[in-house]
Amino acid sequence: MEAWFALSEEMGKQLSGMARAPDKAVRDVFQTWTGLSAEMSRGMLEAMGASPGGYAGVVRAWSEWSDRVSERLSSAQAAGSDSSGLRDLQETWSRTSARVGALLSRQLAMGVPDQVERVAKAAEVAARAAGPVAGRGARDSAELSATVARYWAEHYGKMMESTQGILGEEADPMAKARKVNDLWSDFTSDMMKQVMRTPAFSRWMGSVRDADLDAIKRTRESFEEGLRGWGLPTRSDVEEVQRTLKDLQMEVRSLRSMVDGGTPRRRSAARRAPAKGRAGRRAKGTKG
Amino acid sequence: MAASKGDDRAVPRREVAGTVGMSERAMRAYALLLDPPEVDVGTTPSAVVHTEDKLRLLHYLPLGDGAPTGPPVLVVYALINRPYILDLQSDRSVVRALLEAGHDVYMIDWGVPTRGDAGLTLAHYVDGYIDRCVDAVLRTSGGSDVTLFGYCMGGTLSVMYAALHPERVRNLVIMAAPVDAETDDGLLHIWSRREWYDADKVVDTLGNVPADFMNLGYNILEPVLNTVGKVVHLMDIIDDEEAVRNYFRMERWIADGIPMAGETFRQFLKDIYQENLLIKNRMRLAGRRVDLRRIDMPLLLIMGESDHLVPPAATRPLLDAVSSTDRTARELKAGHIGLSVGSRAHRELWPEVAAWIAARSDAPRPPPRPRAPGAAGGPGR
Repeated sequence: MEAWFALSEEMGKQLSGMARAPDKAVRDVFQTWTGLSAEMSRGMLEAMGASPGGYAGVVRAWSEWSDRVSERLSSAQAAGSDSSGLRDLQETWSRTSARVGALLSRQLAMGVPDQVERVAKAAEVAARAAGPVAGRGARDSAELSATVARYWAEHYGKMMESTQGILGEEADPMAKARKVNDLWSDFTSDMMKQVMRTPAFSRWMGSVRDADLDAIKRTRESFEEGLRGWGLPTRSDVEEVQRTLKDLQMEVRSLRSMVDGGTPRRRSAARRAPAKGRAGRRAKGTKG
Repeated sequence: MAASKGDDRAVPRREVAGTVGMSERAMRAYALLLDPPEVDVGTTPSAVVHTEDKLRLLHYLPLGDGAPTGPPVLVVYALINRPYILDLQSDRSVVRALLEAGHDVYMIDWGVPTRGDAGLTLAHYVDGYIDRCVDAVLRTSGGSDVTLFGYCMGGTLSVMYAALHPERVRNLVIMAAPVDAETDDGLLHIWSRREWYDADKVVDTLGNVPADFMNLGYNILEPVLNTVGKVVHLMDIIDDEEAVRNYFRMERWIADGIPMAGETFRQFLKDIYQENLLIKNRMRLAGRRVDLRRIDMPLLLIMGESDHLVPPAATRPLLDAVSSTDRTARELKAGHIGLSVGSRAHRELWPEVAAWIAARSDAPRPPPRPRAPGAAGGPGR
């Protein structure tokens, strides 16, 4: 609001002179200003009410409005108007509109975290509610959403400020784009890393992985049941044969080594005990 | 919005030119990603001196006329990706760096396990394959022991081997190897905790653990860098032909993963990552305890400060767990892969490593250091 009043005061002085200007282009600019100021004021009032989406509405209105005023100014300049009033207006416009844009963006940035915080709280409530009713996956997803939203809420304002800084300071458009990309890439990367460190993420990843594995297992079991119905060997049967062959191969290698090289340097460690684990109980690998 | 003073038309023209330039680079980058150029990897000449099942033992030919010096260096890489990361491009090749320093270099290429190999355990790899590779190296070189150099999971296997067979290892060089899981520095250590990672379920369902399954986990460790960042980087280097070739060498290596034998995965995840048995001297391979205090040879630990796969905290505790009196730890500002292919690593690290090995090649092994009862690495840890 402070910027708005500063702009209004400064612009108003020049516009009062322009209303009487002989140049048509200058009068057009004046009409654009007066025609849109009512709309802008409504947006400002909405923003003052801090209703949801208010700041975003103001920024949108400001953007459209400033584009139209800039267009009028450019047309007037292109038409060859040499009015000193127009030049003054153009300079004032450039200076103060940049200031208003920055302030509004900052306000927007400040407004968003409140909304995101509400999302985070809602997600937490959903997570608690989902716990006893829904499955593990739903609870983990809700918790994860809350974690992401909270991180976003904590950092968004600062990020918007940094973005505005780059947009305002960097002149080269390509360098500007690259800097903004790098800034947001780093931010997103940091955010992901923070989120990925949380138990909620690990649990969520575990639940997704387990669900995938369950699906694979169920599919395979149903295929194998069908194959058995036809009296055909299944993949599990083939793998069991492969494993047995591998064990035999390693036993033979061990025996051959003993025959070729006399007593082995030491007893085979790999042969003495199978590995731990369910399938490991079947494994009887040898060193040979 | 703001009208500019002076050259009013310069800004729009520059914006248009910049946008066109960026679009053009983006198009070229995407075209290359869709149809990558052919690149050569692992070009240092070698001969296969031993094969067993899927495994090949490579013996690198000397680069100069002089005979190699010191005990042969046996390189043990992980069971996850291909070992040619250590010889990815000729100007940043660890293998070449060691050869150029006059070492006799061998490397195990594990090959690709098939379903029949799903029952292979860590004991098969450590006490079987690696041991027989050492046999083959000693046969070929005529030596009596080796310098064992293990990288990543290959480093963990090498630690186990050195603990079980210290008499066969003259020097031990361990790079970015997970040895101690009691750290929160790396996401892999967090994600693999038993409260949310069911290793039994993975192996019982999949058998061998596919490369894509493991790669998914590695890729999301750096979600932005491995997606947007990669494309932006390619756009940055698109005009540098050699840099683009190196980019696609790395891409080829990343995509060239191999599955891991199911039982090995199960054991590695449970014993190393979940139970942390190795550093506690409670790891057992086929009934034998792996006691790190039996490691008494000179030890060099290499760690990457920004290693997000195996953070230094997962490797460093080995230093205090062994009996070696000659122990060196070296940290480099690099990531997990940067240790082997980074320009800084080849400028600073590898000449040092080659010299470290050379300095210990002819000297008699120093006596093991006395250990206080209950010192770190003991059974009570």
